[in-house]
Amino acid sequence: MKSDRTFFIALITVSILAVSNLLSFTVSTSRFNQSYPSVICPPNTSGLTTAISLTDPKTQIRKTGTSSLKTREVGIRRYAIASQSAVIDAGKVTPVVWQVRKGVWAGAAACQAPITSRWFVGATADITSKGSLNLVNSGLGKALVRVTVYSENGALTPRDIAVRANSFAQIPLPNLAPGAKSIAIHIEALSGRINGFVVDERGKGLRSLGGDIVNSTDDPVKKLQIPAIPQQRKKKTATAHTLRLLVPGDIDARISAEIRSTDGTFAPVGINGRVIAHNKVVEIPMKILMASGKFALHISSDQPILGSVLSPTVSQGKSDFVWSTAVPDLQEFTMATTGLAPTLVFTGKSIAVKLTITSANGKSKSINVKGSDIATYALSDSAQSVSFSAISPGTSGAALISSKSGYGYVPLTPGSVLTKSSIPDSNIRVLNP
Amino acid sequence: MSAPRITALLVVHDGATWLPEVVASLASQSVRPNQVFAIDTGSLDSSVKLLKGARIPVASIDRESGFGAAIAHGISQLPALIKDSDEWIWILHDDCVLHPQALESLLAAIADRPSVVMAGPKLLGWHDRTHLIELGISIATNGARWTGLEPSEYDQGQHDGVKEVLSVSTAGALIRRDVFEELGGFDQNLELFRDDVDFGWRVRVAGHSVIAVSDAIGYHAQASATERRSVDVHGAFLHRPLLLDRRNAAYVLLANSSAWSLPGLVIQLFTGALLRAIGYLFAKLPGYASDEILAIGSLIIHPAELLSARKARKKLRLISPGVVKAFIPSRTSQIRASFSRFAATLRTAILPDSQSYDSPIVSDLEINEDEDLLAPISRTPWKSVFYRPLVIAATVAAVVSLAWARNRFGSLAGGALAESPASFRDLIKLYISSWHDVGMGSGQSTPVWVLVIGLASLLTFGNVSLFITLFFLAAPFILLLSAHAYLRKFTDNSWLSAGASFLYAFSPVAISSINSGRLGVLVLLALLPFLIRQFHQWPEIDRWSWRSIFAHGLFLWFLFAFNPIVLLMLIGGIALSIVADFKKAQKNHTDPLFRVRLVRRITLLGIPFLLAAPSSFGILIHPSRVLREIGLSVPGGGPNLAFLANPGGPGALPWWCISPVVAILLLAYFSTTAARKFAQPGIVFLLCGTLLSVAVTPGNGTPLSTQISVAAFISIATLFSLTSGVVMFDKIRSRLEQSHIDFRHVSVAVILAVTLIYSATSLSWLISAGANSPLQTGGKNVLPAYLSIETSAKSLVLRPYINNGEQTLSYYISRGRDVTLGEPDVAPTDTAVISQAVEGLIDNTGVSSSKVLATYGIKYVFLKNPIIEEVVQTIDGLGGFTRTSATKAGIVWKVSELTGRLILTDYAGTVSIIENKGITAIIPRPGTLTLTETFSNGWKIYQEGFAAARIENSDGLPTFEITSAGEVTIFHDGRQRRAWISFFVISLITVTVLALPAGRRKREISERELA
Repeated sequence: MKSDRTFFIALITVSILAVSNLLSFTVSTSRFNQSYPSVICPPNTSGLTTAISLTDPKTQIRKTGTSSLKTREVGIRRYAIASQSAVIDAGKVTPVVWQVRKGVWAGAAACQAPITSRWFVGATADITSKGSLNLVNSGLGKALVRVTVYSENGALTPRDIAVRANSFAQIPLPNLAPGAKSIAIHIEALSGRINGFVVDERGKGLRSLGGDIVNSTDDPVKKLQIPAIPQQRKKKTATAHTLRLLVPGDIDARISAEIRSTDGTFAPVGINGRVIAHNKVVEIPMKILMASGKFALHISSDQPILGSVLSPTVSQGKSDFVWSTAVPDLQEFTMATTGLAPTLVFTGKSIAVKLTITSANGKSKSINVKGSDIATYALSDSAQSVSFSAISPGTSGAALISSKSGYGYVPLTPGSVLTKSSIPDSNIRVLNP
Repeated sequence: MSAPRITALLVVHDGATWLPEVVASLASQSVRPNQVFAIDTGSLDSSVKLLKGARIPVASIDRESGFGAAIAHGISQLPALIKDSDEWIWILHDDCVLHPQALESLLAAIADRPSVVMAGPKLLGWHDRTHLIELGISIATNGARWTGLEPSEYDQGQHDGVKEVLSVSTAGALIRRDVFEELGGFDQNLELFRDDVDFGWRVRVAGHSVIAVSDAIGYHAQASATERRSVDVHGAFLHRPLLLDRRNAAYVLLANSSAWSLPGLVIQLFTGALLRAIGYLFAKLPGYASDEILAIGSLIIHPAELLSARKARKKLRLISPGVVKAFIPSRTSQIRASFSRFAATLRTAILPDSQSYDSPIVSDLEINEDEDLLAPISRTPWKSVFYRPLVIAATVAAVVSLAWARNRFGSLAGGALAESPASFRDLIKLYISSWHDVGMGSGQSTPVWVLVIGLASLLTFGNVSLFITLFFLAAPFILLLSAHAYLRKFTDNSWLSAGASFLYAFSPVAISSINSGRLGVLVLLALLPFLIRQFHQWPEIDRWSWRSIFAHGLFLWFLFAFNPIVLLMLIGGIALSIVADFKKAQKNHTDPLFRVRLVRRITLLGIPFLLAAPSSFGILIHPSRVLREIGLSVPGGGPNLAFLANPGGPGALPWWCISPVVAILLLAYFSTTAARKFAQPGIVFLLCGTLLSVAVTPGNGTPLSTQISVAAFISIATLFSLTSGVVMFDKIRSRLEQSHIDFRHVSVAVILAVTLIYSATSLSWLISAGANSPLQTGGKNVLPAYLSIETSAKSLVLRPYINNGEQTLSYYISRGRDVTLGEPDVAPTDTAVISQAVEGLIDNTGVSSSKVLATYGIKYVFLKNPIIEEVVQTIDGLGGFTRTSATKAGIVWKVSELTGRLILTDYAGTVSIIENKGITAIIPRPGTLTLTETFSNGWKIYQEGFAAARIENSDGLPTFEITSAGEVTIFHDGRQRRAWISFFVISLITVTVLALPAGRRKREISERELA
């Protein structure tokens, strides 16, 4: 009798538990929307020529300066924009802008999704400066941007700049910090869909001293990686690079640096153990003499720090300069390279990156880049895009682009990452503390 | 001075029961009256024969004659009063025995008090002769007979002495004959009852004194008042003593009181009669209720009688009527006495006196005071209180609660519990209102639990927040006490019952309910031990009285109001029982027993269903609503936790705190038959809960489906488990000691180990992580203060949450304030168009979102911190929204389109916003007026007395055609809601009356109980 009861209760219990577990499933009531936000490219200002490298002629594009958010197919793979900024729905591909003042300078930048906070370590606001900070508002509402400029004398009072809906504002750098030789700019989007681009163009009278786009970086970190600093030998003399640093916190930072190149890894003279005053833009000259044409700089600091390197370049006999900025670790993404033929430079202790290169004929090939400290791969002219995957930890990269007009530097960071946003559901719970 | 002449007048009416002793007491008086004369008012028993046997002269008069008429007749039979003679009448009742020294004591008292014309004895009970009935009487302003004594006051001589009083009872009263005749004797309009107070009053205002003499003792049976004999006097309509007493009380007050106090007295008499009548109705004594009303009515319809009485009294009044004021109890005294009586009743109900007197003391001789003195006094050291298991359990609970509830000292909100409104009036208003300003507006009926909480908050002077806080803080103790009151009946071992009660109070379901703010489950847990007793006899429901059926129906309705899932249990239980009954009746549906049980079971189901209307009808249309909990929806934990008797979800104990509930159930199932009786239903409830825990249903105010909580099932399983445990372990120690080690020892050890581990782990968790439960105090308002200013403006509130590690976003429409208690239960889920517009805000497709939001009167969009940057950028970039602020609270955008509660589109197509003041608004020109509230047939606009034509526009909003400029009145017609409330009140009163114990007429109370 008792055994019957045991069997009965065991059978019922096990059955109910089994059935309920089978029926039970994790009820995920949340709905999500996944998309790559549109990217915004630097505006084409007066006298410049701007070409955007894309991978697909069907890419949707619109320009700022209109009251519409309507997009259209771009039609070609290298799109030249006459004025304003381009807002591109490029999906997972990051378009790259090649900006040229014909015969004077050239610069490159990746188009980016709207930002909340970005740093520009580079450019000057002194008498030679012809550069500008270009703020693009790609939204249909008015935007407000807080701009804080740091100079060799310290931080200047932040300025809030309003940018009209779906337009851009060009602010000459001398207006932001008149007379400052070395500047760093921090922009914060207080409201609106904002992107910022800095063009560092210099001249002395009618003589051009070159120019470049200063690529933006993320918030300060304790370990900086600048993967690609071009080293163009002038006969047998050392090239005078300038390391520009900013410690935006409240405490001075003690730094150490390491140069990694195919010639070896060594510490540059006069940097290790140096204390960098906070809130001031500090420049440290680096005279480098080495055979290899590019090197990477790794900086460690006990405080969050920002940095970039200004390198003089010569392109077809004309003097130019390039700003090599810090980049975070490389992520998987695809960069449009149509018509650019960049040289990809990777740095890291143990480099491993799989490149998938798509050519104009639509064919793809995979290249595994492996090495230590620094590795380079030059893409051919026919390469329309390159995808980065199977990346070893601690590897970062940048692309160097050379043309008749000058040298350009593009950090290898995705302009737009897949964003998963929750579709809101009605729930009265939101009104309960 | 010569001795006074005493004439004893004995009035007899069917008094054979008491008369022999009365006559004997007359004969044994130490001072004999000079003359004894009896007046019989048509007795039908052997009274006259008895009197004649005792050689007492008897005069017989009509059976319908009143007491006053009988005395008047007696006096008329006496020789005429000799002028200046000291002659007294000693009035005797046939149901009042006088102590042998009674007359002597009365005479002694009046001897040196020449102003005294009326003196009465101390009256004690007939059956219980220590029961002090009267020592002088008065009348309260509500007509009650006032003795100034406590109910059933024990006579210890505490009131002894000679006291000036308003009057004394006519039983044993000694009255000076000349004054009696001068004042016209007893008022003949007062045939019975209150003639004594009336006469005393008249004596007083005539300038004489009345005293009560405690040395003179009488034992009064109060045969007429206690309905031991019929009242046959002429004025006693339908022979109803209560009617006569109330009528006479009012007569005495209105005839004797000063003119200026009459209005107040009339109001008080009316109100008192009405309230008492309601009380009698609840006690199912409609006869007494009608007596109360008829008494006042019969007096009012004969004003001439009252006027002549007042005129007669005015003639004989020699001094100010204020002289009696000192003897009329003040209203304060009356209120104090009422409270005292109520407290005594309550005390008796809660703490019944364990001493029972099987036989009443009928004589002083039976009281052996020496015995009292010789009996050793039993003293219990006060410290022993602290060694009581229940006190120890409560102390441990207090210590744990102190740490556990450290974040709950203050206004509570979180989990399923919304914020408390400022006052109980808000809850009452929410219950009564036909339209609720929640989200886009809702016309849903507010569930009755909101009204219950509102009324219960009166205990904290209307402060709902305080009431809720105290309830949640006291919840473990309430559960401890309620479980103990139930479990102690199953064992003599107080440690066992206290331990099991402690486990109940700190069971996973109790902890989860407190932590997640589940008010409904806590109410269920607290009341379950009281309900479950009766359900032990569930199969034999035919043995339940109808009163019990109604009472339990009411109880079930109350639980259903707080836990809709109770209805599901009830339906399931009743369906299974009907099938079982049908089988027992050998599938014969005409079987009388089957029918009796069927009717009772269906009644038990019908009562909660009826009382919960119209919400219960909504369950018929949407059966899934029965699975919802009250308040905000909180998900359950799924089947595996449910099987461990843990409801799971936010605030629940982690899985590794495994309670002994399941282990006890399973062991008890294989234990004794008595334990199995409780284990079986416990297992059924546990398994049903486990199976049901996989169900998902949308919560209140959201279309989102979440896993349901089966806390109610687990609560019942927990109580059954603990009951079976108590039954199983009762006297187990002696059984274990007497047997060799076998499975019993092992099972006890297992249960003890599981219990100890559970106690250690759960209590540790409670005082550490448990304090950070969803239900907490100090939560800041969701909406920033600046959005609360525009109370008429709607704001769309977006709020991010982390769900299963993912950031999710929810929204709701606010009316300038957070959600308060009860509102989630009536909140609308969503409006499809608004949901689409909000979706567009997030996925960057909402170019027209601002226009849509404006259409529905939504003026602001508020993204609460922690903000999601992508969302901010999207809204910023969409256009149609202007950022107005970005603070720590979040970011606010103003919708650029013109919007408000009332949108007027005139015939030229111009749109303007109309501001309303309360329910009125001025319309500047004719046009179409759109009210940005969800369409409901109740919405009406009146202009110049005419209703404006109304349609539901394509957006689902009510739109009215305004034909001319001017003032309009906008309101939601609440007639339907009021009708439902009336239906509810009538149903509730009816069921309550049927459920309450019936009162008994005095004649139905036994002599023994009277003693």
